[in-house]
Amino acid sequence: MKRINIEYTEHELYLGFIENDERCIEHIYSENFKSVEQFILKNSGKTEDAKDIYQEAIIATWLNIKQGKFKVQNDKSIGGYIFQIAKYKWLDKLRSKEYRTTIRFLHDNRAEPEADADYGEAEERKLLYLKELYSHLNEKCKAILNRFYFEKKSLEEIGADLNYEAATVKTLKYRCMQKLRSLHHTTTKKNDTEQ
Amino acid sequence: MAEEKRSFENEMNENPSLKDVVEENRLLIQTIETGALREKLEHIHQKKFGSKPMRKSIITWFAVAAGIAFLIAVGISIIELGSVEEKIFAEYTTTDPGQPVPMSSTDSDYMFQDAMVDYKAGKFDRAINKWSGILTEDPESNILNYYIGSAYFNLEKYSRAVQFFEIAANQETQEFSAKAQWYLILSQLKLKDTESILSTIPIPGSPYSEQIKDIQLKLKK
Repeated sequence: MKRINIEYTEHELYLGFIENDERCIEHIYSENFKSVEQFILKNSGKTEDAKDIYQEAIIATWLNIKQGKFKVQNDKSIGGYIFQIAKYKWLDKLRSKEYRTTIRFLHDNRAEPEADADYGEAEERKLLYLKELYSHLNEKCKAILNRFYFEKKSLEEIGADLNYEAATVKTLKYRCMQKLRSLHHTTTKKNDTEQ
Repeated sequence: MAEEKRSFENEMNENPSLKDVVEENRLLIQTIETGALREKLEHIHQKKFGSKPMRKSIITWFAVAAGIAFLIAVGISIIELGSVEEKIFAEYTTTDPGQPVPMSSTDSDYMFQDAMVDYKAGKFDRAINKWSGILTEDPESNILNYYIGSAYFNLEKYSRAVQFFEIAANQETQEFSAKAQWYLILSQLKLKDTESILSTIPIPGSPYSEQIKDIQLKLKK
């Protein structure tokens, strides 16, 4: 049976993105990867660099949209915003000490990458922190928490996916959140002590 | 809802420890969501741009091509052996892609547009749930009955679709009543309800009049 041909307006993508709609995310990803890849390849990067930078730029865009720092209006588009952030990230990486020690280029006359009004060092640090925190969760916690908070599934649906009773999912979810909270407290305390 | 939000924000401003708890929860949820998103993006990348070893992909290509050729051959024989209604349905069927969702909408049609986003994303069950909620306020609504019918049509639940298309087809607004009548006919083809199709009189001025008459002729043969 012929299905509807999905063509999204910018506003629909925006709404879908906020709701973690898989089709919208996939559409945004497919439509904008090549332009970012081209930019990075032309600027001393590899395909693997392009993938990493691109994915981080999408996550940064997602976070800024959720925090109300970016809205689709006038001539702004999600794709354009992702590109801007990806460009900033790549140029920042090129100028980083770590990168330059690999002797990628001898003469760097590039200007400092300009932080967008909504994205700069503070946002980069935050994203790194969230990534670090998440990496400490075990697979079972990720499976439950991802389904509940990202995919917006009910306890019953999660139970059906993972072969648990809904009451068990509820308990496990609580314990996983407590674990995450405790990790956050420990890290925050450690950072405060070091300062 | 906006009132509750304002009241809660005021409470947070007056209670620093409540504010801290809320901020912390927000951060933890962002941790989970960004982590999940990262995994999802990697999965999408592999699906859309991931590379396979050449040899394996050639073998896979041939296997897929052979499979498709087989399915086409089977499909053709099924269509040849299919009923008159099935053949006519296959010849005429299209689906409605939905309306464009405007940049801004008033509160009153926000729910409608929100469901339209679901509809256009193929989440027909969700769209039906949301539209059905609004339908209670206006059960005779031409546009709501039409789109709920369309969503059921896309889900291939033709008996349910018929109930909504019948209501929409009897309303006065020509745009949706004509479309509803057309999709009602298509649904009835699937349900092999030839009698209803033959007794249908196309709505005056309907852009589907000729097609409806063609279908009726074919069914009479």
